[in-house]
Amino acid sequence: MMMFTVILKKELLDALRDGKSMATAFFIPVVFALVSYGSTLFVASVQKGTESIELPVHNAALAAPLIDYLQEQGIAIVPAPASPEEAVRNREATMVLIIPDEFPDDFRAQKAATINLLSDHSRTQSRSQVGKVRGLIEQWSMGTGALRLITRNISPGIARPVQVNSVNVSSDQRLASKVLAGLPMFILMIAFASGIGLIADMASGERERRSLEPLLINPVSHHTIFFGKWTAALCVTAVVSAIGIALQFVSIHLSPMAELGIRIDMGIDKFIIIFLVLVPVMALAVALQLFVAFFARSFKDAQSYNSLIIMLPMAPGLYLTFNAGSAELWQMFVPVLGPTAIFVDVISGDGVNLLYVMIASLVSLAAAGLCAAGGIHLLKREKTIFG
Amino acid sequence: MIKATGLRKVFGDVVAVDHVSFQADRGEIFGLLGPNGAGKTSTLRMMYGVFTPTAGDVSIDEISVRHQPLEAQRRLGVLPDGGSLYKRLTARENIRYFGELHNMPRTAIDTATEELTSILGMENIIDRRTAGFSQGERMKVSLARAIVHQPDYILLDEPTNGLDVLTTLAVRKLLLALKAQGKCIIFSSHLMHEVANLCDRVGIIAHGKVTVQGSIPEVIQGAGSANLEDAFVHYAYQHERSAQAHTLP
Repeated sequence: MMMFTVILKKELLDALRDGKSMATAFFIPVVFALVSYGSTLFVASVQKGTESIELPVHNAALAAPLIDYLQEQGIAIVPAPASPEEAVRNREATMVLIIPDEFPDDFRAQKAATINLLSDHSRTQSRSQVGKVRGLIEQWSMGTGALRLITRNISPGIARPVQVNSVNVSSDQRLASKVLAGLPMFILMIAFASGIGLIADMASGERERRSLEPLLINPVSHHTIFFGKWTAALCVTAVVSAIGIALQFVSIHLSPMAELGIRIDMGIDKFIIIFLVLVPVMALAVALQLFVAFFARSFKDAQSYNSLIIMLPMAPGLYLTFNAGSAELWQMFVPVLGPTAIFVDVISGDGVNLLYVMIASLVSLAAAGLCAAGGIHLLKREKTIFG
Repeated sequence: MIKATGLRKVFGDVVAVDHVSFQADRGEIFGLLGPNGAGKTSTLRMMYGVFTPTAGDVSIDEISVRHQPLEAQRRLGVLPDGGSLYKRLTARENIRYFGELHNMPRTAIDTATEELTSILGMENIIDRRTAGFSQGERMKVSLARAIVHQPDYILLDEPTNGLDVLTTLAVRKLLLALKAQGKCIIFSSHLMHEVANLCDRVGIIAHGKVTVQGSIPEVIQGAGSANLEDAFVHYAYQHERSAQAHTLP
């Protein structure tokens, strides 16, 4: 225990004085927070775009009830440009609604009155806006039709054998987690990325500078040295990860989610749960990277191998982005995937399954133990000491 | 007593050390001599426990390095070949770290550090970070860190390599003082004047084998030469010559 503290203290002092590694460690969470903020901002701007639709209308006065309805639904009606087709083609307008001169007569005669909605189908960005306007017009048309049937004592149901009711069951939090799909992956990547410079320095750097041999001559066991280094790297990773998660939370609070009508509840309780679930993952990340760093032939090799390891959380992250749903038991047995699934649930506000957390943590710790055993074995090899 | 018995180390097809045996006692300085690549460093690495011998063993006060490495290492102070310091730590922190790894109390470390600082003349560098130290400065700190815990057995691999005259003199003075305290010192070198000035006994290694060992006068006499340098050439290269002689028609 005594020797363990001696090594831990020295490694922490050495690490804190290593400006380059520390800068890298703290740089990553900041970048990820900015990326998170940027992406929510982007989602928000896309969502907002569909909400305020500007619709140029030709002959608006001829279909006053329809135009009133559209305005009630939040569509801004503006006068149509002189040549509507050209305006749409030249992207001056997303779409133009043209009310033909004969519309009032046909409408009054209760004939099917035609109106034209000009749009450019090749423009994917405008599709949702055009779809929304078209939907609103159809709704108004159906409503008007139903009223006409009622005045003739006919049930409107006769004209509508099937009615599709689409019910949105997603909670605000689920919707929010969709927007925040990248968050669990970012949190895991922070855990994997924070120690990278530091670990390469304390393992392969120690050998490359030829200070490993003098260290191993001291009457200290290999596993004490390994766990001293491991704990030092874990401490730094834990601090950086805590800052990283906090920055993510801050970026979410600053993001314009509220304007989208999405209420995101990301309080201190979620922060603590995420951090605690992340600790065993950090233990694994650090053990794995130390193992790789002792295995690598040089400091440079260690850094490039470990930067590949940062990509590891991307696989489960992407898998869960495309297979959204609550965490499942089998996922807990896959290292890294389990915690990612738990984070998705936590962020969605679905609560935490304690059994799942325990299984996932034990799996992480077991994997960390394997990596540590491998690392200690490597540390005993003459080839590792002398390169 | 430190005793190497039948030490052998094989790397793939290369036999680096071949049945090396010698011993050294407290209160004496033993020189391990040999040309570059003769197996001195490999022998020392087996003695301080970072190489596992292919065959043979080393015992320190009857404690086997192979079977009780940590017990044996507690009795050792080692200056390995080319070992380096922690550059982000000061000289004092480097020395303190190794003292702590030997479980020394803080006050004992401080006292020993003060003493070594004065003997080796490190007053102006002791609280500086070691990045950018000259070779002599690095060597002084490495030496201080190796013996801060006052070990009974001291193994030094080429301790005066690349040192200026003043530093060499300081190191020599220190080694003689340690010997007077009853410590056992084994050091490897290929600098004959260094060895002649310091050692009570020497062993010469060539091609992984000990070709001769004994006191300096014995070795000189055995070679039938006038000085240690000639004797060294005789014993270090006789093996080679005799091998050549066998292949001659």
